[in-house]
Amino acid sequence: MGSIYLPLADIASDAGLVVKVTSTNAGWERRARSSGGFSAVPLGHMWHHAASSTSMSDEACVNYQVRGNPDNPVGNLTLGRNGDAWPIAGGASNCSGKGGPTKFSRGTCPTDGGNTTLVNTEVNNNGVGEPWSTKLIDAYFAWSNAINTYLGNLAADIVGHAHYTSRKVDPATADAVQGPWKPRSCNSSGTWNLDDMRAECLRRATTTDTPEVPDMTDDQARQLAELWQYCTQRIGAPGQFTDPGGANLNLPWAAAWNWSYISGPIDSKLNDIITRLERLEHAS
Amino acid sequence: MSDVTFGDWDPADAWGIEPPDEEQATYKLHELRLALDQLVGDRGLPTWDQLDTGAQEMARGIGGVIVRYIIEREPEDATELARTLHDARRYVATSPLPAWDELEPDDRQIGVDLMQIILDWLRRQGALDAV
Repeated sequence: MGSIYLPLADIASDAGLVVKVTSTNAGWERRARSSGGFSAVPLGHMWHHAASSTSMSDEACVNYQVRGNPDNPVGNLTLGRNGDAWPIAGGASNCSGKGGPTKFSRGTCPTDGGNTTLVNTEVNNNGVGEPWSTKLIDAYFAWSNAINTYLGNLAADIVGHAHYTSRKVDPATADAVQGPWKPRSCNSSGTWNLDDMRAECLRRATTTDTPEVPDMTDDQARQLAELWQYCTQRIGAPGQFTDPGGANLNLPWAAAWNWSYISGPIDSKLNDIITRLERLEHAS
Repeated sequence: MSDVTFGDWDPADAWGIEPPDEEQATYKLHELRLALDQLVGDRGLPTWDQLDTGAQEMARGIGGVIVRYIIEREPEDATELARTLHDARRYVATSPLPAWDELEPDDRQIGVDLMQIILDWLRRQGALDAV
């Protein structure tokens, strides 16, 4: 009888994934297993594959998870073959079932508690050798790290269905993974090695591919300070702004006030900013 | 590997350790009523989102009756659950409903069958073991 429903679409979108919502998965926000939403913030993320036919479309896979299976919803989110994210259920789902217990950084998923204490992700892959494209693998790790970050978990707070129960082999196969990450397999079915999965989650969580944005020049900082002074006088905003770090006006300060307006020639933006502020002033 | 289109599914995957939720019981019952409506030739039962707020609230009340009954009595008998639910509907219905015993046998059976589906659904997911 849980009440926590997760904003899966926003989390996936913020992670850079393409989110797909159609009439097939609409209503995912309040969809859940019979026990409803999560009773507590989920402790981790379980990885699966659907073992679906290679001819099965992503939407057909999702349709099975949402209404084809009498114990729907099956899983919380599904990644399509190209890494698109299909939200299935914001609440607890029916996907992992009997298995465990499994330890995570914030606690232990109890025996048979995977559905109600973990977020479960399916992937439209046959699991017996269908290639996992680099794009799909990147999406899986991006999603895993994003959902664990949102939940306040560590990046390594993951488990595969096969590691949770001997009934399963997913995610697999290791040999079918394309791209630079090459997981070992831990059984004859090609199930990905959990240590390798966790290590890659950690590596990606601590590596940023975002290029460095150059800091403001002193001249830009001076212009920005003058602009701030002018704007606070125009709209009566309280106080003089000070840099949070006590240093010269710099990138974090600028980013907080919309980098796109101060990274270029400020003079050309000034009238636009003032117009917007005046509009706000009149609106209030 | 029970389904060629989704081989990862295993009925044991539905097992859990938490009691039923009133909101989800309400949705499930409405889903079943919609399926029934289609079977009898689409008499125009609205989808959940098409129901107005009052109708949704009333439906939630029915879902609440189901869950409270299950938690308090741990039922095995779908007939008693159907009778209880019907009595609850009579209490909150905007138009008069006949008493359970006055219903046509077929109508009673439909109610019993619906409740049996609900009980089976909860049983498969461990909800009855958790109450």
